[in-house]
Amino acid sequence: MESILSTIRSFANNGISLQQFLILGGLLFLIGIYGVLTRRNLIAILMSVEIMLNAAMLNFVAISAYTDTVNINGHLFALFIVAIAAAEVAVGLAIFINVFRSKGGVLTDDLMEMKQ
Amino acid sequence: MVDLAILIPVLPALGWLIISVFSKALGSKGSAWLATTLMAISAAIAIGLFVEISSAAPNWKAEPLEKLYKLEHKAKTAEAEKPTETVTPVEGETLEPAVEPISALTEEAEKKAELLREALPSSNRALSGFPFVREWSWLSIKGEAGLPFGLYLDQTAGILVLMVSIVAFLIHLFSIGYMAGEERYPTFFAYINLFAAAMLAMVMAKNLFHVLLFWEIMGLMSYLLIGFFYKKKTAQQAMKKAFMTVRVGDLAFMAGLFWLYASFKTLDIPTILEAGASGELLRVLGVTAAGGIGLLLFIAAMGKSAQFPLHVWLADAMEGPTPVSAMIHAATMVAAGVYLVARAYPILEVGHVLPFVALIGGFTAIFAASMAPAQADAKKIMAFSTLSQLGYMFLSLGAFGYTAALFHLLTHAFFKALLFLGSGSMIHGSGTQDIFEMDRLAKYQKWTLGTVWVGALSLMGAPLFAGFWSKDEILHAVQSAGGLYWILWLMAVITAILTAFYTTRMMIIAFYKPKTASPWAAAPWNNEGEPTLNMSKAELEDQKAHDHGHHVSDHPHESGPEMIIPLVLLATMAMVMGFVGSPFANSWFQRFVYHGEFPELLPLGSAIPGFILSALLVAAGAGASYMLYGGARDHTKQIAPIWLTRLLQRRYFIDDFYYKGFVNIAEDIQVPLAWFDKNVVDRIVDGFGIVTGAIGDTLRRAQSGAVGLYAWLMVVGGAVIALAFAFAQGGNK
Repeated sequence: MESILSTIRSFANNGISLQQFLILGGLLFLIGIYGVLTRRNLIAILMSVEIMLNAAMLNFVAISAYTDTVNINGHLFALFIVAIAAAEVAVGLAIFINVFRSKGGVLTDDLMEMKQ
Repeated sequence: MVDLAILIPVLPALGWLIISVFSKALGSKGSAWLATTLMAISAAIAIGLFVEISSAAPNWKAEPLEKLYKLEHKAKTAEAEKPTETVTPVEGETLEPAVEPISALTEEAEKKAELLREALPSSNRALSGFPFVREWSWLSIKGEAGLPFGLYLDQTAGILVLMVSIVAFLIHLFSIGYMAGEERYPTFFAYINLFAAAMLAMVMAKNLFHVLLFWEIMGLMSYLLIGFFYKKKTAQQAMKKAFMTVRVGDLAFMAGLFWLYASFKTLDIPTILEAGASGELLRVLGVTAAGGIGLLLFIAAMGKSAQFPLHVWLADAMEGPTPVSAMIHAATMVAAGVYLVARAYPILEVGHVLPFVALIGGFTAIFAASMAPAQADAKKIMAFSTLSQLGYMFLSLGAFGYTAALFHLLTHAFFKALLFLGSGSMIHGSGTQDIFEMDRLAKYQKWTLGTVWVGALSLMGAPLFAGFWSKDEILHAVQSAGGLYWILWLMAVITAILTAFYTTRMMIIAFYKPKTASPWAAAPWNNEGEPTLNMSKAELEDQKAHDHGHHVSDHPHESGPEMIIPLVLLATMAMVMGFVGSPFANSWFQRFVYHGEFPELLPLGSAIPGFILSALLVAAGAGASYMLYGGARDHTKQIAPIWLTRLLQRRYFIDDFYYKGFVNIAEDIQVPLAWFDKNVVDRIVDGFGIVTGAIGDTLRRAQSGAVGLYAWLMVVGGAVIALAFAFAQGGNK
């Protein structure tokens, strides 16, 4: 307990290092990949993809904040990613609704039609 | 008006664009009237432009100016003759040591000229800014000059713009009625609109490069229009023939322009004209280069204006609809060649190409005129007469008769357009092109009869008609050229007789004789196909079988008002136009298009022998024709020896020679080449396709459609690439 508190204290005192942000980003990314690979439900896959995007966004912001104190390029990228992610969700969900209407389900197994 | 001048070519070009895109929405009549209206506006602007040019140009009619030029001429000739005189050095001081002492005579003349020049009233000088120039930047890169597109509006351009736009407008008007009911009616108007636009732009262009540009557009449009009835094999052959023959000249044109640019560094027309006048052209180019360039440019003109030996396409260009023939023969196309030679005149003059021009022109004149009497097709007779008249123009250009040539170009445009549209009306009324098959048209077509007679008399050069004045000018120019030109003069005289002969023959047979079978339809040489178009008998028969539109009417009828009105207008002009260059108008035209030297104008009195001679020539030709065909005589009788008729109808076998000597050889060469292309090149290309297809077919099986699997593969692939990069980075460190 004491150790955890000291860690928190050190965070508060020293701030978080870039490395820690990157580790968090990497973890989020792997969680996203895991979700994409294992889930069958298209909506769940889309959510996983959003997690991956957030991971990338976090890395951008972190690296930008730590390495470049003058420009805010990374932050701008993050804003772009937010916008694109929103658009992606809108389009993706619209597609899923249509898939659901025509196939009666939104599982990946419902879409295996490219086989001859 | 000068600021509106750019609209003259732009409006018809716009018409082409609009009709091409919106012909469905416009409908047939809409397209036709749009094209005609735009052309009419162009013609109206052209008239205004011409008035402005003629009022801004120096007024050569003025007495003091004439004196001035006579004095300048005298000074010049005195200077030229100087080396033969014993030069007496002017005592003591000369103003500049470099200037050679000039004889007292010259000095006096120049002093007088100087005085006159200063005393010259302002109305007799060219207005400042004449010739008009308007320029727009074109192909300019980063502020460099590039190749600015400019209009150069001098007297020559003014006259040609006027002539082309008016004649083209009347042809448009005529076509509305003549082409009615044809397939692709709007397309036709789009084409002739662009054809006229290209010609108008060409005569106004300031730079020879742009002349070439519009020259080529005209070549394309003539190709499309000659082959307008593209389903007919004869039309296909004729369009190819025209395009390829003119192409020979175009190649020479380009070569000439390259050479000119390489050695003179500019293609700017005013610069060339000025350099020609100041002697700079001779200094920079030298006789050899100028001769070479001049020759190449003349070959270009030979192709476009169908001069021997590139004359073969013109008679077969009759495969196009009749208004197209009128367009090609009067307003556009063939006039372009004459225009080019007139524009490049200083180069040809410096390069001593002019005698060659005269020789080719004179030969073509008599050569083409000799073939016309053996033709049965009204349009072919007209075609040969065009060849012959163009020959006159080149003869005149070559004999230093610059003004006479332009004069004849102007009058010829009007009367030849009239004759073609008139023959169009004859064909429209009778349903045939064969003059023997036409049934006493004089009875049925009063208006056509009258107007075509005007055209015919003008073509013959009957006194007081347009062709009379200009032809007389040409004969006079050739005669006064001296030297061996008397041979060419003789040829021109014989041509005049022949012209009167075949024109009268056509008029008699078409208008006054009852319908008979064409006498040469069954002639053995006409039963071997169409040799001038390289078609076998079977191909020709095949075409005739498909050609069910051809029906000779037993009751010829007069054409409608939209065809008669242009005829009447053209006939009026064919009568009036000649007077602008006649002694009655104090040779206004010749003074207007003044070039280089002071034009030697004949007073009315001393021109009379020439006029009498011209009249006698016409009378001789027409009389001979009447003696052979007129009255109750049997006009189908074979008069000439049969071998001569064969020779003339086969056009001296020159077409056969070209087909056998060039075209067929080229076609023989292409057989193995085509085989190679089909069996080797195509196989290789096919091979790529087959291999790609096979690979694709194999790889296709990897596409299972399982999205989860794709995601796995993607992640694994991404990981592999990332690792590879990481290792590579590590390796670099």
